[in-house]
Amino acid sequence: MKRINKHKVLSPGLFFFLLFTPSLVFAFMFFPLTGAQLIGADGYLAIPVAFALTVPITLVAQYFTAQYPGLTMIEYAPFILGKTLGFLYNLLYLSGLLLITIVFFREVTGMAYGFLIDRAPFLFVTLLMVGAVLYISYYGITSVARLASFLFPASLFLGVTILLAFQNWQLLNILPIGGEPVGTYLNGGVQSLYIFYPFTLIFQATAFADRREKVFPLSLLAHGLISLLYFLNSIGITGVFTAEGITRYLWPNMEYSRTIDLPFFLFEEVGLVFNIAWGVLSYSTITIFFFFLAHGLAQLGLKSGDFHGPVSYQKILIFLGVIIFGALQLIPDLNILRAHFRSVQIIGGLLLFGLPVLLFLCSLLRVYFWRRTQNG
Amino acid sequence: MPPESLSHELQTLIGNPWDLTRRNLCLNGQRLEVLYLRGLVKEERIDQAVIRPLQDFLATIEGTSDQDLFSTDNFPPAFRTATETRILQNPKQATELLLEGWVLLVSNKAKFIPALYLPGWTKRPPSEPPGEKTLRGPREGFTEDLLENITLIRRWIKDPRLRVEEKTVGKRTKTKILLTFLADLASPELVREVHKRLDAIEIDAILESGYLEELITDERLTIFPLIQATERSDKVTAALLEGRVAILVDKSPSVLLVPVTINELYQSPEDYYLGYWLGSLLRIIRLIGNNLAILLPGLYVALVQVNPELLPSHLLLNIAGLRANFPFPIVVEVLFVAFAVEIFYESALRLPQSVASVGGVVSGIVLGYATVQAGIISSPTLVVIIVSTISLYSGPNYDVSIAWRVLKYLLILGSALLGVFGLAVTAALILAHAATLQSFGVSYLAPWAPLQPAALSDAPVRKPLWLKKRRLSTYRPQEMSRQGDTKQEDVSSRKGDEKD
Repeated sequence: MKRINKHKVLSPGLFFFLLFTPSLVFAFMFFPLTGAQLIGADGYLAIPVAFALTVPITLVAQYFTAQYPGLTMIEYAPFILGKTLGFLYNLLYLSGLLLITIVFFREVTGMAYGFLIDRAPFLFVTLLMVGAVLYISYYGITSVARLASFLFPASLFLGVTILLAFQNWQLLNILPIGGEPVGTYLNGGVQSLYIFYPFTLIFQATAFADRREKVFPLSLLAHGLISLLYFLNSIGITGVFTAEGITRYLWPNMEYSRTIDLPFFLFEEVGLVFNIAWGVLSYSTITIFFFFLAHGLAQLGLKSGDFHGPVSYQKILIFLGVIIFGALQLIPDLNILRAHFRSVQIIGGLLLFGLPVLLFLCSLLRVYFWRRTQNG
Repeated sequence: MPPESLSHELQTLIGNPWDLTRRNLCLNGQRLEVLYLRGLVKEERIDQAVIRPLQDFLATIEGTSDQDLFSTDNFPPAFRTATETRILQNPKQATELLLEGWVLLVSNKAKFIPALYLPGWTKRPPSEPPGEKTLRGPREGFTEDLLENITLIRRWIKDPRLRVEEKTVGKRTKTKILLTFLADLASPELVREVHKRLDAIEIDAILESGYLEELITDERLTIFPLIQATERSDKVTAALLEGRVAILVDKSPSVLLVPVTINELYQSPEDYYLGYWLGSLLRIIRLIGNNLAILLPGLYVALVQVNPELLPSHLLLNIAGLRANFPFPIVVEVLFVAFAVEIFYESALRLPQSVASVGGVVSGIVLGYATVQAGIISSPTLVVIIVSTISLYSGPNYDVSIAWRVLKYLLILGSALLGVFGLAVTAALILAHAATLQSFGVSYLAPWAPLQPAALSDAPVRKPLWLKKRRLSTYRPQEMSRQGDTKQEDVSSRKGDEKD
């Protein structure tokens, strides 16, 4: 049956999972590295700082949702900045999204290679994964969000694993608390912002929400829950490995899950199930990234009243699949990616969080000058 | 139109079939012909219900012109009370009724053709559907007779708001289809959509409800059933009470229910007959059984062939020891046994029951033992496939079991190629496919996706009846309230601390 409004297809639940799943899994496997490297034993404090720093992003999104209801950022940016600047702005923003999609995709394939399929040809695996992602993204946002919703129990499993791994936890490993200068924590928080990069999808996703009044509380709930999970996870992993120990691993959380010892467990280690749970959630996350990227690109040359853009996002998806497949082949070694991760952090932060904040400021200025003109 | 010419016209339309019976009568100077198809009509009632009232009627009428004989105003009252009647003027229409089991009265002068409905074909009594057996609950299932089927539903629901709307589909078979729903519960949008899809069908024959299912489904290429088929009248009744629509097809004991979610396909009416603890336990067992059936062979292949390092070492050594002298790779072994089981299964369906049980013993025990002894198949493989096959049928819906039966092979192949990773990717793809599906506007994965907490509380476990105050929002019923607030103290004699 056809819906009356084709745009507003996300119920509050689906909207929540659309934000929650990508943000949960994006940096999950390696995020403790940042805090441990920059702060030390109490590196977990970087998470609340990062959380506090990203709350304003949700507020900015709320502002735009109120100002431009039912529009994605790709649509309202040209209203604020003008056609040419708006187009450039959108192009830059989508480049940021493309960057984190490639980085994350490469992390997922690297993880699969590291632990499960070291003998399979990389080309074949990436082709299979890109194909799988294109398949579901092709069916649109509802299918993508439903998949994220259905896979939610896998997130619960990640949460349970975090708690189970506490069996080897030692209090001394997370001490002292607050022994570093405030600037160190702030720096740690800023550099941990990448954890929340997928939250930038809120600028596009709100246009699909059928109940706008729920957007802000749900975003905040997702944001808060993820921060709590990351915080607990960070405390747990530091307590098990120590800050110095964390830095020895490429994927500290994978190693963390391997420390769980369950008697009579079917597999050699819990890490396998943990890996699979993270893997399926990652699949869902990549499909979400793909959808928003393709939809955003389709909207670049937007005609008025054409929500999905003049070019079908489904056609763009195929083009995008080829680009990402090619990009993955260019990063044969994950260590290369990690070596340049600092650049990814900076560029991603500027494009995905910095640009919307800039747009927000421009919007405020525009309103200010408009009022001044009105008042005479 | 004289009977000769009318007969001639009827003959042109219908031919001169072997089972067409013509009884020529001459009553009170009127030449009449009684036409019917033997086998479709209750022949023993013709004398009593047609000829005698006709004789009485012709003896009493006077002054009626021959042309107006059998007109609506001037029609034997005995006929009206005896059975369903119609007055026709069109021979084509008369032929259609003749083919449905009506008796035609053709007069030599009258321009009207009276038709009397005296159906008399053989029917089987309602019995328990073999594929949907329960230990507790009614033992009646639908039959091939539409009237009987609707009566079974009416005996459950004595509500004047139960609507039964008729449609005819199939240019040649002219199959009668009944749309049944509760007017104050089923969403009008849903009813409209069902009508729309049925009206759009252009086909020469509908031989079973399966034809309709394939034609009105939301997604024709999927392997998952997007319409629920059941032969149980209690299941249909429960569905109607949730605001769903039932489609009954003549000559088919399978009634179609729309919309449906995958969750619904794992529920049995028995869950509600056995109390909520037991009902919940059964549902959980079914879920585990289903997952075991789908994933076990793939997981076995992945762990033994591709990722042996993930198995606990003692288990790995045991399996390796048992498979030491077997010639085939594990995936070949698994596929070989799985195909053999499929063949046995199909054969058993068509074998006479007495032979089938012997065949089961021979194939299951003797052949299984012999193949292991002969070194063709290892015993762990046999165990895995047998557990998987038996678990597959733990669910109450045959269609969804078939779907998983096929998808199981995809998972085996995915596992053989990429191990546990391949299994996860294939499973995620299947899930992704399911996420794209919907049944008459309802997400196939509901209430999991989109998450519907209230409906979810009655999904993997069975919600106590006294907590089911509202209907499932999944099917968007018009009236959400299901029951009042029945408290324990209203129905129980326990009075807490009160003294006797």
